[in-house]
Amino acid sequence: MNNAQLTLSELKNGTHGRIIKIGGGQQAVKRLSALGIVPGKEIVKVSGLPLHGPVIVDVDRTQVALGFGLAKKVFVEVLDENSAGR
Amino acid sequence: MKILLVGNPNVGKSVVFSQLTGTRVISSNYPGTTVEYTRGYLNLNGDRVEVIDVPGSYTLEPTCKAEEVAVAMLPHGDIVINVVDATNLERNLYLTLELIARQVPLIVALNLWDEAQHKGIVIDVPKLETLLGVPVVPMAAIRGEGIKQLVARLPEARSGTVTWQTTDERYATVGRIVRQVQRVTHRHHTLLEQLEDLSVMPLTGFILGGLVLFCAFKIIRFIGEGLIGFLCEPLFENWYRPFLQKLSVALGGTGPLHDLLIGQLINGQIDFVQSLGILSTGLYVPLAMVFPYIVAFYLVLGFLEDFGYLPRLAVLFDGLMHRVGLHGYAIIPMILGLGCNVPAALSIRNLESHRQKFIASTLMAIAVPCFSQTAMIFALVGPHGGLYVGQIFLTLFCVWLTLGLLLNRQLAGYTPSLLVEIPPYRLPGVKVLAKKLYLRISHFFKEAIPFILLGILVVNLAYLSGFIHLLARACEPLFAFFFGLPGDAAIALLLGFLRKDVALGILAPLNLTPEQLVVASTVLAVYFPCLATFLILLRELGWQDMLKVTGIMLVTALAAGTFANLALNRLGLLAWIGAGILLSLLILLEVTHRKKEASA
Repeated sequence: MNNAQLTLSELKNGTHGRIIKIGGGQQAVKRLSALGIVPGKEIVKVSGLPLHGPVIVDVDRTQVALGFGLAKKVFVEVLDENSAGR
Repeated sequence: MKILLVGNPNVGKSVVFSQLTGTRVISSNYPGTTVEYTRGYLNLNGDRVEVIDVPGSYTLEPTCKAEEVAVAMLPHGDIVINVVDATNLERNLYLTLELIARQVPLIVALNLWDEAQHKGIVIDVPKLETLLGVPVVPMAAIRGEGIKQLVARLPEARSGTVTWQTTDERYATVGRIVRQVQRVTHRHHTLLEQLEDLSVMPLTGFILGGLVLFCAFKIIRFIGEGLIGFLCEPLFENWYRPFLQKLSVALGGTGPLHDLLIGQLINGQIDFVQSLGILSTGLYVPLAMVFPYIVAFYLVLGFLEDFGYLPRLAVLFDGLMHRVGLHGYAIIPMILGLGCNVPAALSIRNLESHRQKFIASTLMAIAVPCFSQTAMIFALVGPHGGLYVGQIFLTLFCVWLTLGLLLNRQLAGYTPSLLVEIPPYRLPGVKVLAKKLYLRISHFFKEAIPFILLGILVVNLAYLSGFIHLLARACEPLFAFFFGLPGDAAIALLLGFLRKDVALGILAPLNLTPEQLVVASTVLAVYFPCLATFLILLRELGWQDMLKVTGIMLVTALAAGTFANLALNRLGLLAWIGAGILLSLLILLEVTHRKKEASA
C-alpha cells in the first residue's frame, strides 16, 4: 500500500498522506489553495460521510471539509495507514 | 478616519470588533450584493473613528463574493487591522503578506493567543514584527486581553517591507517566517478536540447532531414560551386590551373602520388571534406570537454559530442536500423553518447562488411545516392515532425529496462542492452574542414586521369584501373532487394564508373524519407559507421567481392532497407503493445521472 496514489475520497479514515496534485480547473485549485490544500502539504483524513458526503481532513492543525466532488480531485500519496492524528 | 478589520474566517474578527466598538453597530449589505458587513464606532483619544468588520477572506485574489467585497473595501481604510489566528500562522500569514504587498498601513492583531498557548504553540512576537515590518499585538480578544495595547499602538500602523511576489514565492516566504518564529511542542488530544472529531464521524456525528438539534428545540421552546407567558401576553392583556376596548366602543363596535382596525368581535370580545384587525391581530401575531420565538431562535442559533457547531451540521447533511441541488449550509433554513418560516426565509439570503436560493425557498415554503403548524396537526389529528400524524409527515418528507430531485434536474446550472474550514469548538462571548442578537432582531423589525402588517391588511380587506367567501364557493367542486373535502373547509384553507394554525383551528368544528383531517392538514401544510414568509420570499426572489414558486406550490398541493385522498379513501397501501416506486425511480435516475457525470 505504501506510496500508492489515491484520491482523498478513496483514502481510509485515519490515514496520513501527502498531497501530490490537484486535478481540476483553475477555480478548484484556487479555492483549495486558499484553505492551505496545495501539493506538498501533509494531511490526515479524519472522516468521510455517507451519501457521497464531504471528506474531512486535518491540514495545518485545522480541519477542512471538502465536498465529495472536490475530494475526488485531490490526489495523495499514502504515508502512514494509522496515524495518531494532528 | 476609517479602520478596517481584515482576516480569515473563524479567527475571532467579530470578537475583536465587538471589543473595539460601542453599542451602536449597524449591519448593512455591500451595495449591489447580499454580502453583509458590520460597522461601529471607536473612541480614539476623543475622536470618533469608524470601524468596519470586513467579510472574512483567505486571500485578496477573490474566490467568492465575500472576498470580492473585502477587496473592494480595502482602498477605503486609513488603517487596516489584520486579525490573525495564532494557532494557525501558516494559513493566516498568506493574507498578511498580500496586505503588506498592497502597501496599506497595517497592524497585526495576533488573536487566540491563549488558545495557541494551550495547544503548545510558542510564537516569537518581536521576531515576527521585525520580519513583517509591522506592529504585532498578541491578544485574547474574547477575554478582552490585548485590546488596550492594540488601540494604543494603532498610530504605529505602517506598510511593511515585503516586495512583490508570485503565489509560490509567497507560500515559501510564509514557510520561512513560520519556521523562524514558531515552535510547537507535542501534546495530547483534549476532550473538546475528541468531541470535535466525533461530531464529523458518520455514526457518532449523526447521533450527536440529533442530540444537539433535540436540545436546541427544547431550549427554543422553553425560551419562546417563557417570553410569551411572562412578558408578551401579560403586556397585551393588561396594558393593551383596555386601550383597544375603549377604541372599539368609541368606534361603535361595528362598521367598516372598526372591522379594519379592530376586526370582528368574537362573543362580544376582542380576540387577539381571530379578530383579524390591524391593531388587534395585526400587532399581536408578529409581536406576541412570532417575536418571542425569533428571539429564542436567534439566541440559540447565535450560540451554535459561535460555538462552531454549524459548519459540522452542514457537513453532516451535505450529502443529502447535494441530491436536491443545495449544499450543506442549506440545512440551516430547513431547520429554522421547522420552528418558524420567517427567520428561515430571512436566512435564505445567505446562500450563495440564485439557483440555491430558489430551490431552498421552494422546498422550505412547501414542505417544511413550522412549529405552530406542527403543534396544530398534533392537536387536531393526534387524537385519531399516530399513524395518521405519521402519514402527514411522511408525505411532507416525500414531497420535499421528490421536489428537490426534480428541481435539481430541471434547473440550469449546478451547485459547487462544499469547501469550508471547520473551526475548533470555542465558548462564545456574551458581548458578541448580545450584539449579534440585537442586529438580527432589529433586522426582523425592519424587514419582517411591516410586511406582516401589510399582509394582515390585505387578508382583512379580502375577507371583509366577501372575496374569500366567493373564492371558497368557486373552489368547492374542486375541493370535493380532488380532496374529498366539504365546501366549508375551503374557507379554512384560504385563510391559511394568514396563519396556518388559525386555519387548522377553523377546521376543528367542521366534524371532519380523520381521513379528511389528514388530507386537509397535508394540503394546508403544502400549499402556502404564511403571508409573512410569502412576502419576505417575494422580496428576496423577486416577482418572477415567486410566481414560479407559487405555481409549483399549487401543483404540489393539488398532487399531495389528491395523493393523500387516494391513499386514505380509495387505494390505501397501493397509493403508497405507487409513490414509493416513483420515488425510487427518481433516485435511480439521479444515481445513474451522477455516474455518467463522473465517468465523463
